[in-house]
Amino acid sequence: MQIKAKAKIFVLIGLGAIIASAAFWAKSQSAGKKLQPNRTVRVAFGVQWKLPLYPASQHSMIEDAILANQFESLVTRGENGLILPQCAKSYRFNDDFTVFDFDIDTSRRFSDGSTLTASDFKRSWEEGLRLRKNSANRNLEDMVTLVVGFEDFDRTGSLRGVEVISSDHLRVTFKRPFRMALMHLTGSRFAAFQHSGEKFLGTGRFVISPVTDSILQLKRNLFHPTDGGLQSIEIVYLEDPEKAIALGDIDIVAMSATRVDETDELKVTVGVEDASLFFHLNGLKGRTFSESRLRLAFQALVHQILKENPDAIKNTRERFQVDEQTFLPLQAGRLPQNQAAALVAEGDQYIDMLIKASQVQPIKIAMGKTFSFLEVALQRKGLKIISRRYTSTEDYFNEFYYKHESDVALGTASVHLSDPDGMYHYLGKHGAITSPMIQRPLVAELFEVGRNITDQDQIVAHYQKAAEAILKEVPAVHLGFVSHSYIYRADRLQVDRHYLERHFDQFAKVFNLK
Amino acid sequence: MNHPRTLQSWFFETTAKPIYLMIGFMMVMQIIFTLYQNKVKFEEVRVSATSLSNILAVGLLQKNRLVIETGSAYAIANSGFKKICIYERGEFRYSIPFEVDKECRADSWFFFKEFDVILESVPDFRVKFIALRFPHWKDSIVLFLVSGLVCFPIYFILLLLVRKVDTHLITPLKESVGNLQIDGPFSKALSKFNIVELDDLMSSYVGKIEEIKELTERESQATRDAAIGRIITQLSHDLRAPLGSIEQLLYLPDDAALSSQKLRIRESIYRMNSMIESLRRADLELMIEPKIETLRFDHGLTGLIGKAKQKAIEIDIQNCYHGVRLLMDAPKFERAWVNLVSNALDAAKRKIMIVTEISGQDFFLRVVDDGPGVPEDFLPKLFQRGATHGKHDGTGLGLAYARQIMQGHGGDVGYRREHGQTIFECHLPNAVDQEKDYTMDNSEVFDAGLVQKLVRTVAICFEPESLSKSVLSEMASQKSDDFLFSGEMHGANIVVSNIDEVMFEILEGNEQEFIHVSPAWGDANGILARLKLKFNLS
Repeated sequence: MQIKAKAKIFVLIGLGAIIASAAFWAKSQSAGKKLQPNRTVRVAFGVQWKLPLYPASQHSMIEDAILANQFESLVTRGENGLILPQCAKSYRFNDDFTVFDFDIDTSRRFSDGSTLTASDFKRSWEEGLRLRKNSANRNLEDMVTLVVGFEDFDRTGSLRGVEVISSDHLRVTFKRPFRMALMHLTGSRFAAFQHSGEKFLGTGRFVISPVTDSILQLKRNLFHPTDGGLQSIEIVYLEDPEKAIALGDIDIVAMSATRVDETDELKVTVGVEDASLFFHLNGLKGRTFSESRLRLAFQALVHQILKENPDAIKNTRERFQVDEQTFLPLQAGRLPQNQAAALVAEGDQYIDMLIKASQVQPIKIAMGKTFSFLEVALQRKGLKIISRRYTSTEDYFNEFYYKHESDVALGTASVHLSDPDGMYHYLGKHGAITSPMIQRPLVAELFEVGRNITDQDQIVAHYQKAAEAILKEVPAVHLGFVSHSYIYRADRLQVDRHYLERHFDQFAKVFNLK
Repeated sequence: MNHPRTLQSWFFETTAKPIYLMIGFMMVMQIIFTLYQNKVKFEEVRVSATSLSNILAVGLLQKNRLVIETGSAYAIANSGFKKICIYERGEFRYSIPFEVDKECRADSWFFFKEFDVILESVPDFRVKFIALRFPHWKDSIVLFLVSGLVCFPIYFILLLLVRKVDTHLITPLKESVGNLQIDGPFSKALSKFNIVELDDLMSSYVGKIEEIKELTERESQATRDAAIGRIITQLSHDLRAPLGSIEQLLYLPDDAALSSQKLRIRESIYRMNSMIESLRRADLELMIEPKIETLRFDHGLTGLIGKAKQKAIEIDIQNCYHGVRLLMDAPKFERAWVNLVSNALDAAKRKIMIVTEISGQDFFLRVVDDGPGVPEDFLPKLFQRGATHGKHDGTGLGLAYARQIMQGHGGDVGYRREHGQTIFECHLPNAVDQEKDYTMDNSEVFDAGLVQKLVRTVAICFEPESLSKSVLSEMASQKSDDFLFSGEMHGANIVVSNIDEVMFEILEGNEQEFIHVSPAWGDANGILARLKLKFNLS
């Protein structure tokens, strides 16, 4: 009886498969546990940040994402949207949301080894109001204007409503009920920091060190209690980060709005609408869009074009969804779709007027790389425009916050919270990222009042009024929502939090090395 | 009764079949388990969908995005949903993950399952859930693979072992036992293993082989002794006829008469010598070895002529096939019919007829006499050894011996009475070559003077049959003292020998000797030399 060659091959294949499976299993087991302390994770952003980076300097979502790795605030947002203690071990507030007490975790230390106390928060907030502002308003204004004694700050240099009861007890008193106080305090811009010359020290997991204007090194804060996880991060600015990650040059593309087809190596986290794309309309006195009818006309014209060019939008490859309304779908303040469409359509009657006005005074439009088809489409509609491209992110911020040379400036605002008060950042009088060119008194007033409402039923009704006001006053034409995600190398990293909320958390909480 | 199985069959029944059944069972169980898991999972998914729908209804009523987002995100992360979409009056409003195309649709109906939940408290809204149809498909595939990876190698390893046992133990054992070899392939196979238990087995095997050899030798000797005993008895019976003839000579009146009977004396002596030779080779006496040989009446009847003349009985041969070539053991067949004729001489009144007949391939020889026949009461033991009737000196061996010989040819001896005559009929089946013309002269009469020198013919069939006639004729021309070459006959190349040693050599072997002639043997001289060497004639 001869042994068939086939049987031998089967045996060999079977044994080979068992050995390979065992090796694969062993590798996967070890890969999941093995920590590679010397491995530096490279993270790329497609948008640049502005140096120096300190809590009160934050004026964009990029900087928010970077700063969260070094600076910790009193509270933080948990995975399910719950507000959890961070530097405050616990917190309490009174029934009308005016007095908030925080028990400070004094076991935390700054990266120079000094202990965190309640006074660090009071000092940091007061210092933050004195440091150079990166936007039209001081960064912390949107919240501290509601703190008792803010109006005396420029004179006294002190925020009376922020009291250090003891080294581990901080009390913040607001003038009026402030529904979203805790939510605002989750931002890293309200973190405690030490200021030593050019260096800003935080209590967070990492210490950020700029290498160049485009490269940041994040090394472990040796006094941070958390062990394990990512040990070293390099953040770089790249014009085409999606190409770089495909080539394997980097490990993560942070906050990418580009659609990427997932592969075995490249995966994408799950996100939600976290940014709005606006045509900011310059309503300053003497400008074309100081006339409300022309603003209505421009709004109507833009949405006509978006409806007529669905393929052009798709070709932008952005994770973008057209929407006339500023408030998120299903959010308080969201108008019924037909009502919003009707309000937008009111501008149709003034489009000819806008076109004629543009013949006399061409409309200056400043844009980035994407959505360039809108320029062409506007010209085809008869609008006379003078367009220019932003030379850099800084160029855009200068234009939007200070220069106001353009009549229309395309920009992104990541201001959505689950609550409609998030929009205060952008349209409120003391908003951290607002601009005089988009300030409309009616809108600003409605947002000012809205943040003090605590009754849920009143919130819905009030912000619907605000939504109507936005569509009528048109501080900006809302083009739609963008969803950002992290693209990551799945062959090198494992993702611990696949779903990302609007406020992107620390890299070390989202990713780990394989 | 349990029939023994082949090793393959045993392996299939005891190992492969259970493994097949086990794999099949595991696969069926996995399918059931997977389906069950899916059912359970989907129950969980539906419960989660119901719970989430209530949460979403609250969020939608309050227009609270926080509730909607965190609730659905938590469900996506923990409850197996791939996508959750909310529609308001049929229009897409929200999805998680973020949906750009506003078409909340599963990528594949096969892998995903869609189901809608109507929110009763907010009837304008409905929620569409998309969940994996086979949430545990990876686990199932892994289970299938693991089952296969474990079971199939085990199966093949066992198969390998069985085949090794068959190749290295059973087959050598078969060969060794078949040849009763001690230092054969089995011994070599066992020495390769170098295992104590197997060495013990080998020792036991060697002992048993020695025992078997000894027993076989003993049995052979016992058979030989028994045959000699039987033949001595038989020859005692047969020797009486020639001795009777010689005895009669003592009563003849003068030398001239004695001189005239010299031929009878010589033939009687020859028969006795022949019988003595049979005694010498007693163990072969009962072996029937049919060959194509010539039927002769002269040899057998020579010793009976005197008795017939003395009793004035005429022996007549009817339809004589004297000289015909038949497939038979000629000496023994002759002994059989001579016994019948001898008995007939005792019973006949005036005449005995020997009638031969060819029917198809069968040959019949009948001895007919006009005697009174066998009494009815003696018929049942007519052919039994030791049974005799009507003869004062009968031994009861003649008919028994005749029957034994004929049955050894595949035929028989029968007795019957017809028309007042006694008939003993010998039947030789398949003895006749039908292609030959056996028509004989019915008038040929036995001639006692035809006794010829005894020539024992032996047929040696060469392989290949294509050995050319020219080579055979060339061999015949050698005029060897040992071999008489007669050329091709009955499809075989026949070599005839008159030397007893040649015959014995062949008789001790198979019934028919096939000798493969290799081209290396060379010409006729070479073949002859080989044959001599084979039969120790050189």
